[in-house]
Amino acid sequence: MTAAKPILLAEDNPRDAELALAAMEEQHISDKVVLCHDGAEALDYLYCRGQFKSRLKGNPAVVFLDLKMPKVNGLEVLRIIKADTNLRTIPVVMLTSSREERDLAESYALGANAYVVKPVEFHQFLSAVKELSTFWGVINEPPPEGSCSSN
Amino acid sequence: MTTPLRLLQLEDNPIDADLILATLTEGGISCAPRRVESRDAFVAALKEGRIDMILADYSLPGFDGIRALELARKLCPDVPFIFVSATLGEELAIDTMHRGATDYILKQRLGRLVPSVQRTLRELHNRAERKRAEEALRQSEKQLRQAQKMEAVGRLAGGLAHDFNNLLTVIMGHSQVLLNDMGPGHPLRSKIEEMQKAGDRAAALIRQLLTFSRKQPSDPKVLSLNPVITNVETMLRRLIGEDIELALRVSQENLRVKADPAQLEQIVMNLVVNARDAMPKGGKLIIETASANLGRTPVYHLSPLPPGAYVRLSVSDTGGGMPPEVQAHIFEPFFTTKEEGKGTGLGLSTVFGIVTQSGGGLDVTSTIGQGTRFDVYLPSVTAEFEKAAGQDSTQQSMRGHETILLVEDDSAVRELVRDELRKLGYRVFEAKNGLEACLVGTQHLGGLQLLLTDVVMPGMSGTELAQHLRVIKPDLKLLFISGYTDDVGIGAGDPSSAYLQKPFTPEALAKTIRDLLDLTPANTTRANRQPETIQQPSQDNRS
Ligand SMILES: Nc1ncnc2c1ncn2[C@@H]1O[C@H](COP(=O)(O)OP(=O)(O)OP(=O)(O)O)[C@@H](O)[C@H]1O
Ligand SMILES: [Mg+2]
Repeated sequence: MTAAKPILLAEDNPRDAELALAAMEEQHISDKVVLCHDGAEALDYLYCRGQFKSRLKGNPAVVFLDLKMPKVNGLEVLRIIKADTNLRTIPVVMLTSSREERDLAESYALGANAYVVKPVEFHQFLSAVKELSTFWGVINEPPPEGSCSSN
Repeated sequence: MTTPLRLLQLEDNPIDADLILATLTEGGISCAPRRVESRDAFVAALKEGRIDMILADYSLPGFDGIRALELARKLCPDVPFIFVSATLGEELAIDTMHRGATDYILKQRLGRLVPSVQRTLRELHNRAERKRAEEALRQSEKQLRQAQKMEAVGRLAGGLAHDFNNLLTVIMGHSQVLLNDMGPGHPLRSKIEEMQKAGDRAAALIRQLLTFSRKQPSDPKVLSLNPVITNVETMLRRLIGEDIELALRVSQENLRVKADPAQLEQIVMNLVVNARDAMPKGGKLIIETASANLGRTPVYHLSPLPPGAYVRLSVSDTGGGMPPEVQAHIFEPFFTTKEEGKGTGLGLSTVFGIVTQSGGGLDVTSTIGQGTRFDVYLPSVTAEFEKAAGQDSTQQSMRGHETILLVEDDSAVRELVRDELRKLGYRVFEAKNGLEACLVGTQHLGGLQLLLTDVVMPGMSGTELAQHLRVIKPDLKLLFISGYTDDVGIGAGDPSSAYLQKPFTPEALAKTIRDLLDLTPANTTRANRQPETIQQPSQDNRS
């Protein structure tokens, strides 16, 4: 296991995605970011199917899920991840543009590891993501499970 | 806030004006309003002054908001100006802000009024506070320069003193050997005794130098002042000779201070020797102790003394006094009016150093031909504190085994706190910021009992983090730590949360954590405490 694990970012808003990628670029981790544009695509990635059929096996280091996405929304993706024994150990950070008490409660109830209101200001978002990236190096030791879960 | 807000209302519609006032009153802001409608009345009110805040309508018959704003800026530039108006375009609103308006509130959205006024008042208060602080800073800068000078000189003196001490040890040691060998009747004996006395004086001088350079380890403890004085009485009598009458007037009360006894003796000795030198033809020397309630800071101080209970030690003489030019310099190191070899000019600067180090200050009154009086004020310590200081044996009950999530972005603070907690037996997870803590916390939430978190952090604040983790674990205990005094009050009203102001002592931390963790739902005593009461106990008894 030489390559660091990728980061999965599921975000349908191109502007928010761009901001996040720029922040990650600053941290020299943007090459490891896999960007999905909706929940279905994110699930395809996690389960190595569809366009990700032949990707390198292994779980991402962390999953950033936009709460409201087309096709399959963030909460649904979260539910599926936390219900799957092979996926549930992946830290999941919910990204949202609104501070909805109900969304927050539901996210944590479903097992989210953090609920982040996408800060309006770019530098705040950047520092938040930046701090997270230092965290990945610490907590994500090479995974014991060597393969992608089959559907 | 008890004094009502002096409000100038520029508003032509009385119904609106009343509604605005009602909104403010309901929001807990008591107002002393004055309403004007016309330009002339507005200008008259501005000229009259005594206004805390201006609330103005934007559109008025025959007079517009921008003109009103300009007038207010010119006549009362420091008074906040808030527009409360019907529809005001965004551009116009921004324009008013550029021109110096503090805020603009739409009449349709009066809900913003109270928060806006409160924020403005806060800013006003902060500005006044800042101004006061700057003034105090200027005041103390002069004193600081003096202190720095003393410190530089002191460092130099301190270095020398150590070497002299070693040399003196040899001189004194060998003269003692000689005296022992000589036997009582030896003709040279008195000469060696003179040598020894000179050596004693030199040793005393070195001690002075060391105190002065703060190298003499000071060992402050809570002690009674009177015995310290009466203990040195015989020595003082010998020191001042027969021509001077010494009167000791010690207070009947048990005056307690926190100080190093050797340093207290030094204060008395220096003041007494100076008084003696001021009365070469004899006179009266009075040493007095008393309790004193200070509502002001004595003239000679390093930082302002909080008002409260102090102990006063006064030494007065009936000597020659000193002119103001001399008095202006007496606390400067090496300032002396005594002839070569008689004075080093270190006496009073040493006294100043000790007194200010102990949180005290001095007053000096001197009249030419009549005498001089030195008043030393030291913070009084009441008996309660001594008890508190002796309660260290409770250490055992401060221990714990619970799991704590520690969140702090300053790694030095985090490591310190972590090590303290582990020493006490706790299990500690640590995180550098709120987001990381959230990730760690959600994974270990089951066993987690306490969240110990900084308040201000990038990304996710401590309060946000607490709110998030409580969603999944409602009974999680919270302890907020912050270096910002603004954060005081966070968690107030929630019995299972507490707040600790930085800097705090390990004991305060341990105690607060224990109190929080020992709290059962039935026992809803608030576990919030101010660490200062433990850190600076001498200030505990004031007010
Ligand atoms: N009680 C007093 N009456 C008149 N002048 C005084 C009195 N106390 C101090 N002074 C003045 O203040 C000066 C400084 O006093 P300080 O004790 O610092 O030094 P010193 O007495 O000259 O020397 P040292 O104390 O180091 O032997 C004295 O030289 C003297 O001019
Ligand atoms: Mg002197």
